[in-house]
Amino acid sequence: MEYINISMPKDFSITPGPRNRSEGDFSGQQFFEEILDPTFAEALKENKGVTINLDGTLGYGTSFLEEVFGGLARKYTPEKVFKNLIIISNEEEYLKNDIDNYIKNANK
Amino acid sequence: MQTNKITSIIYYSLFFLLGSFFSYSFFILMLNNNLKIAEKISIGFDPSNLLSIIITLLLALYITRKLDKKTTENRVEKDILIDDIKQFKYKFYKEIHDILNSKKILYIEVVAKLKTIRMRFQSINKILKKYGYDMDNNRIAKLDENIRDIKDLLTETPKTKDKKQIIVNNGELSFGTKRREDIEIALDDISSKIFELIVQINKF
Repeated sequence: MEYINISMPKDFSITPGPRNRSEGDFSGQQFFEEILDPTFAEALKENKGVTINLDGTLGYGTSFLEEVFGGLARKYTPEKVFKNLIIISNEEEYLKNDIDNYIKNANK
Repeated sequence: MQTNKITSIIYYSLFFLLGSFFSYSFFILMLNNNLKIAEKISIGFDPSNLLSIIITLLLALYITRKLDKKTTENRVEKDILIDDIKQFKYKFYKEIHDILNSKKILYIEVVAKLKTIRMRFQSINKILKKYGYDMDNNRIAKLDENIRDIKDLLTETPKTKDKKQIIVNNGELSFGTKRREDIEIALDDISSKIFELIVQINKF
């Protein structure tokens, strides 16, 4: 499978923020609406997957990750997300596990 | 150091008891089998006997020293690890209390502090697993979950605006009383788990 690559620090910000736009800059909502959702939709259309590289930022709040990945699973179903999304996180290996949980529990 | 002296005394006593036991057994065996010592005992120098005694003595000394060294190395390894965990605990508590003591703090500042904390714990976690200290109850995994819970309590704002226990406004974070209490309770839980982990390492 071919992949479209997203780098968080290069394509978005080194300081990912809170959950919603109303709470502050570089929110999860902003990342989801401006970058991840359109990229994921395009990838599905072209039978491709998406990789997101999370390294190189100051860190991620729970709200940001839940809004982005839980939001993606709410829109496209957890099965589609698991099938078409690869998370790269070498600095914080535990984030992959955290994100898996946000995807699994997206509709709870 | 005290433990090492006790260990040495135990080893020496053990060798002494073993020696006594074998001598006594030999004596009893002689009596039961009507073995008699020659009436005329010839006093002579047998180099092979002397060599055997010397080798036995040297072996006893070597084994004792070797075991002592191993015990010392294990203790040093444990002390370094425990010291590392204590330092982590100190920094962790300091960072979290600094966050709680600020009336308002930047969300990204909190997130950055938490990243450092979790990465530090991740490296301790790897060392503990590498040296096989995580044998009982998967304590480290539970501790990791507790640290993640703290992160959730500090950085998870609700999807709806119903709950006001954690508010982010213009990128600044503030907590309600209930959320602060929950964080303190979670910290207490982590403190007892770290204590249990240190006890486990010491027993290992």
